[in-house]
Amino acid sequence: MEDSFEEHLIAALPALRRFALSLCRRADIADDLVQTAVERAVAHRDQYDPDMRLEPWLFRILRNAWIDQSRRRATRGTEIDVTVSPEAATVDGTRVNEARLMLRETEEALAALPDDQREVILLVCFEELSYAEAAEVLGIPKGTVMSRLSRGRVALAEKLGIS
Amino acid sequence: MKHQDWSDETLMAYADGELDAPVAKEVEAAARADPRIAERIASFGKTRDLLKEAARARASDPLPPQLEAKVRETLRSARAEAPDSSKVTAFRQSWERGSNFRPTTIAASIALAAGLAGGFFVAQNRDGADGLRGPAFPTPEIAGALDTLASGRTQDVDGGEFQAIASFMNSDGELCREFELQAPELGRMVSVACRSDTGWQQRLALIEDVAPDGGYAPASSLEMLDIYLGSIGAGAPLSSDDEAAALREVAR
Repeated sequence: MEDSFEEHLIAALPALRRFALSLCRRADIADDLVQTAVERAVAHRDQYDPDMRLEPWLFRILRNAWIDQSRRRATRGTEIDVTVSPEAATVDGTRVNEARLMLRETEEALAALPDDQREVILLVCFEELSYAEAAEVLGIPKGTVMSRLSRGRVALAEKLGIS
Repeated sequence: MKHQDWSDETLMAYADGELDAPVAKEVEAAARADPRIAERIASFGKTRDLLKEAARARASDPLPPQLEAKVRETLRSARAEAPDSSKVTAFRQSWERGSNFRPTTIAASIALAAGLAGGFFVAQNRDGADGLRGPAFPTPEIAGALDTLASGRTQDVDGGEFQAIASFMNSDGELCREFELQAPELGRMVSVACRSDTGWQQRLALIEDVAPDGGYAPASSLEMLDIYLGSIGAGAPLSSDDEAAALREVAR
């Protein structure tokens, strides 16, 4: 039988994979990254504090795994655009509605941001982590999370014509 | 568009519901008095909504069944047996052996202090008393690479290959660099050097026996590195811009 840690871990997989994709932008590498993070999480589950949310802890493990890996990777191969999801691929010109267009523009604007700003946006606005949780995942002060997040969102708003 | 009293960070935190009640009340009052502040808050609310939409669209991507199956298998085998670190394989590229390496200068200066599981030896030197800081290490070529090579890049040094992995600051405010040296007779050395007033000092070296197939390294080696980095209060890896700035600083 699965215990609650395992159930919770399974439930967090989509968010973990999303985060992994945003880091590496390659589906195959993202899946391996998630698997690596799961293995490390299982091996170190005694270090998990049950009073904390599981997701930020998992994100941190996954991000560390990514740093281990990406810093050692001289060449990254071909990166895919994360916006090439099945949904985005069906855009055919006639059925493009405004919301979908805005979505694409948002993704494009997001992709153009500096990595450190995008990372914070993904954790806070996509994965709905608190500022404090995002700071914990990234190993940076909360004030740094806030300045990166606000700079990133101001830049997004400018690119998207929101004022 | 800056406002005198309220930073973007604070207005954003208000829009995100991250402010304490007393401060939030002050911001509300300010927004009522100044429509520009209200607009600024609304703008942060809009980016939040938009990003939420984008997140929902991405969330609709299904989880690959084989990934979930693999994860469930991992959980099953973890339940079935005690954790076995040798099963955790680090996820890194295999490398080609160099062909013309003369390891004497590097290898002679490295002390192998302790044998560890997974084919790794650790040699650690906190105070430079012995071992790693022999006269030959870091060699001028390696010191030069530490001074200039951006993380992620490789350079031939002393007949081996030097790869800069990451830069970070330790709790003493020293610039430290994680790097790897690869050579057939040395194997691979994962190492950390920090810049003191007198130059680069090697602080940690993990030396790995090269697997015959040049294959995966046990993750335990990287975990040990993590533990070491934690022990010296290593900050997050510097971004490439910050690293370039730090290296320029070193060069002055």
